[in-house]
Amino acid sequence: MNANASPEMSNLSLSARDDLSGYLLTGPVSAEALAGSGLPLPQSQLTALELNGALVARTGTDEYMAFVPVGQEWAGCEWCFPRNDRVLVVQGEGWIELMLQLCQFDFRKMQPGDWLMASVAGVNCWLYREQQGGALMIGFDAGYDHYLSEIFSTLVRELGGKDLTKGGAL
Amino acid sequence: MKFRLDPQPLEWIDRSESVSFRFEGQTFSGFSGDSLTSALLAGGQKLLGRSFKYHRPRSVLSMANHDVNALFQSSDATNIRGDVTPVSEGVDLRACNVNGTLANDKDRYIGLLSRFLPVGFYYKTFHKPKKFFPYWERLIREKAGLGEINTSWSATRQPKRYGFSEVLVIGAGPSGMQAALSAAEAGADVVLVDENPRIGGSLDYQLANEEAAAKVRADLKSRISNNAKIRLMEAHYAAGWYTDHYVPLVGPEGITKMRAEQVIMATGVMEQPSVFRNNDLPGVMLASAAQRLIARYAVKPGQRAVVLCGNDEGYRAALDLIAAGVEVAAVVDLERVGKRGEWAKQVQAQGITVLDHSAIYEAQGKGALSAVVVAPFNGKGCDAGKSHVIPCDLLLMSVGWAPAAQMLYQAGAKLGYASQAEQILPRELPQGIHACGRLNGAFTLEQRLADGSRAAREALAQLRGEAVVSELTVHRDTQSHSHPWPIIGHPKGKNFLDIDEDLQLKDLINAAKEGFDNIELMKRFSTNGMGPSQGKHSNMNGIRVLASVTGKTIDETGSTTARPMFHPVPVSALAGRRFRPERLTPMHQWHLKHGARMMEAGQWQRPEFYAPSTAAGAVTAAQREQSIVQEVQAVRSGLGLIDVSTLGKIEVMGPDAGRLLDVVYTMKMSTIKIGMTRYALAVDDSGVIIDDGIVGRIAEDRFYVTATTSHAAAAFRTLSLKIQELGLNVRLANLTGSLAAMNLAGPASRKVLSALTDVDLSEESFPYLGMREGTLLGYPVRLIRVGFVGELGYEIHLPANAALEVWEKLMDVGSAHAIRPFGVEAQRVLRLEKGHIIVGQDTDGLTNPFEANMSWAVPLKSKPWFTGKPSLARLKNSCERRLIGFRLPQGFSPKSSSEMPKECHLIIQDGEISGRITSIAYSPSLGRIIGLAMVDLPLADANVPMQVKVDSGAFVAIEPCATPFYDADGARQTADLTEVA
Repeated sequence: MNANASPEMSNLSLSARDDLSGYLLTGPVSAEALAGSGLPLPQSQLTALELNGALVARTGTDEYMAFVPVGQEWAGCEWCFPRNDRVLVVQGEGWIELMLQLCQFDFRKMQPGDWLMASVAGVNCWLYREQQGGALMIGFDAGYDHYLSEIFSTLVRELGGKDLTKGGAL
Repeated sequence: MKFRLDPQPLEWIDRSESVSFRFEGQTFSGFSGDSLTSALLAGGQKLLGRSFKYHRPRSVLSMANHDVNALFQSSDATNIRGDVTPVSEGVDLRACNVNGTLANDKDRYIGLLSRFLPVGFYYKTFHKPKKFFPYWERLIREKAGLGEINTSWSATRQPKRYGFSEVLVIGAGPSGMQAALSAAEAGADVVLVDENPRIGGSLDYQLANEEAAAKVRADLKSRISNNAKIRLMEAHYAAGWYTDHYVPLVGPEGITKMRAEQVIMATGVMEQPSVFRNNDLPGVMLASAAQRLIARYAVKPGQRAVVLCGNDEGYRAALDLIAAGVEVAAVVDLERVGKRGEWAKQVQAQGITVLDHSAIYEAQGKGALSAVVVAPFNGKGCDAGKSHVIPCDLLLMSVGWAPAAQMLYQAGAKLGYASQAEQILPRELPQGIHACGRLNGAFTLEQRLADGSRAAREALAQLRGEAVVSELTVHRDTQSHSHPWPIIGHPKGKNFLDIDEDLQLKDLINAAKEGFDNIELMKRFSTNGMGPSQGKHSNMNGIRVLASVTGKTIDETGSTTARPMFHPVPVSALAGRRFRPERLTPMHQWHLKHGARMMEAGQWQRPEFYAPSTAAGAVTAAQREQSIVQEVQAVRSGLGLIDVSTLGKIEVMGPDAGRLLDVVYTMKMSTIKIGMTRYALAVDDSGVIIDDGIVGRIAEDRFYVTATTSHAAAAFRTLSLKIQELGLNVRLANLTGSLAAMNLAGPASRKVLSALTDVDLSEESFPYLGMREGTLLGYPVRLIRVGFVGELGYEIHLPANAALEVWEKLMDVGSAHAIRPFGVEAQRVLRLEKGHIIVGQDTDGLTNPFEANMSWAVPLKSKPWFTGKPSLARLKNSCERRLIGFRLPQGFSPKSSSEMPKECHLIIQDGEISGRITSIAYSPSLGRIIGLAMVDLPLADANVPMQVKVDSGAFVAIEPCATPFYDADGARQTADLTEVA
């Protein structure tokens, strides 16, 4: 077990979200498209909102990243592009210690509902703390799945937690 | 453990846990908590190492992580610092830098040759004759060195972590502890770090027997352990200061990269040795070293001692020796005893002889100290004629201090010599940096506590953005704690100023006299301060010597720079956890399953070539060549499929999209017709080629851009930057990861693809360089007719989650045309046959389009502006080299690999370098070796055979020729040859 691990970290876990479809929306009609589909509309840049299982982050003046439950119908817009994100979820005591080994952001300051875009282990990621439960979602290009999943899995196990993406729950 | 004392009140050792280990073939035992050195000393082993140059016997000096003559070697590590490394069960050690055994080092006679090894002899002696230098170098490395690296040791990595704090306090002595408490009690988030395994600092060894300090100690430690705002990091040292208060804290588990808003440095002072003849004998040590041995490890440092004093602290050390049962034969004071304080009175009250206005003229002993020669001292030198000898086995030096100010210098603080304190002290500190305690000249316990509070107060004020007037000097002592000249000359020398490098007093004086009279020059010429302790014991005395020789003040003489990291850091800690991002395409597993040998392309993994698995596992060079040839032939004669998902894929949208692309790329993009593409060449402001790809037009206000694999992210950044700079109404979408791409190439490509897509692929509907959208197996696709490999072909861009299914279907349907997947190497050969460049391979960091024969892509006259245009306008008529095509004679067959021209081999003309090969390969289509070379003008235009120097040293002739090498008129990529046939 890692020297920085503590008994409280034993409820640390890593899981994956495969139930979301990601989209990038940009252009002057992007906000209208989101609102028209009943999706939340963050007012400030680099903030995010959750609603009915969907998550929308505002990443520019009129640029948004939307993650909607797989299968949910919505209109989109002309400049709307499907994303190919892999989403991991870290939760439980010790998630800050885990992230301190991967990212130079002070995660003590990250509150539920906060959105962040940062480099994690050298890969551009978006990070979001869920409103309920405070689990940390980490999204990144699926091409890095092999690399980042291995790193997260190793660290979670070093810190005494469980990797639920590989049957660690059993 | 015959030198082990009775339990000491603050000792670090756990007497309930014995530890056994071996040193130089002998078994020793110690206690858990012992350092290697303390355990050895407790067991009576005084000789711990040999010196760097003369292999002189050495032992303890500081017990403060600076004892560079007590470095040990184990089976899996070297240069182990005995003074601070905890002893561990079963470890087997030997001394570093020893020829034979420590006791009978065969090189111990080198010292007899010292008169032939003056300062700078390395520079003066070995450069002529030049041919012998390798011999001398090898010899010097053997004789003068440190530990030995064993390259079979397994690599270890220690994870790094990031840390954050509002206030970082470095040093947990009394002032540091007080500063941390003051800051935390005011509400700040504090990290308190100390290099020792326990907090307390000098409070716990120098003032271990002071009754007044006991209460303070208990109070400080209790409050710290109970304060939730303080995170304590023991056994961590701050190794340097970096911009924005970024401080690496090195601990047993690795590095914590601490980002602090305020840094309070309470790093203390480093005790300095006196310089006199044989001041390096085992038994001569700093007073604080003896105090550490007694207080921390309960080790009796000697039986009969003399204490050399230049300050009050020496008297405190003498009292501690007496308390530990050491006989104190005399105290030798460099000045008048009457100016000393209470501790001196206590020493005198115990009947100890005090010889004031005296110094140690010489230490005596064979292998270890047996006596000292004491002589009257006038502040500059000794009267040797009035000397007398005092037998002793222990000599403590307490003559002064140097600030542990390395990180203050790194942070940009201004320091200067305070003559009243005879110490370098901070004068001006940058924002967010604070200094307190002995580092700041506060020496009494009361001063140190008050100074710690003061520093915390000022840090908190800065943290809150309040104006603050620094009271840096308020709590400084008015009494000096360092002697200005603890340096004693001797006609026979061996008075060492830098024991890391065996530098004697005369060496520094001679260096200065030879003209190296600047402190930085003297350091480099003499190597003063260039050993493992990095001048911690020698820099201050070196400055004093240089100031004396040049007649300058200490301030005028200056100090050398201690760069971060100023203390050795294990490579395993620097390495950290391996973070090397690796990116896979959706077809990665398919590639592996079908024999792909993968290679790195930036962060991506790409198939280099495909070869069937062999019984031996590894693919031979011949098998590799054969696979590449077969892949090339498949594309030329039938069909090939390559995964090009790694290309950058960017959608550019908005009313100003065409204008943006006109700025970023050399050619005009705003005139591309909808449904067509154009070659896109990007140069930087200096006209150097940085990327290429294609731009296709989807709609009036919408373009699709591809970039090279390694430049995809940079291309997106450049586009984003230009939008901001020019205030353009453009949106970007980086689709590099969400889209996959593959290139179906070969005469049969149209036939195979047309069966699977609703896009009309006929020549009339979909001409060369066209781009069409439609569906393929029901998935939305974008097809692009481009010809990088020189055959009829289609780039298929589609959603990443559809890519594998489409790939497998194409392989299935294409099997009727002997389709083969092909890798990067075959693609390189195919494009070379066409004479196409690869940016970064055929170009370098200075290549402009004219040199690469791409003036056709630089419309200087017709286009008003693009990035790099002004530079290219100047470069157009000043080219000094040019890319040319070449071939080797038909049937060229080298005897071995070393006779074969390769990429980067040089073209030599009249004995001068005139160019280099950028690409070379066997062309299956031509049956000979072809290549590209960047050749100096006018040779590049001469069209004469050139000579390439190959690995063996031989010269091989190459023949310049025109490009493309293959299908010069481009008929194959614009016509469906299967229909023609």
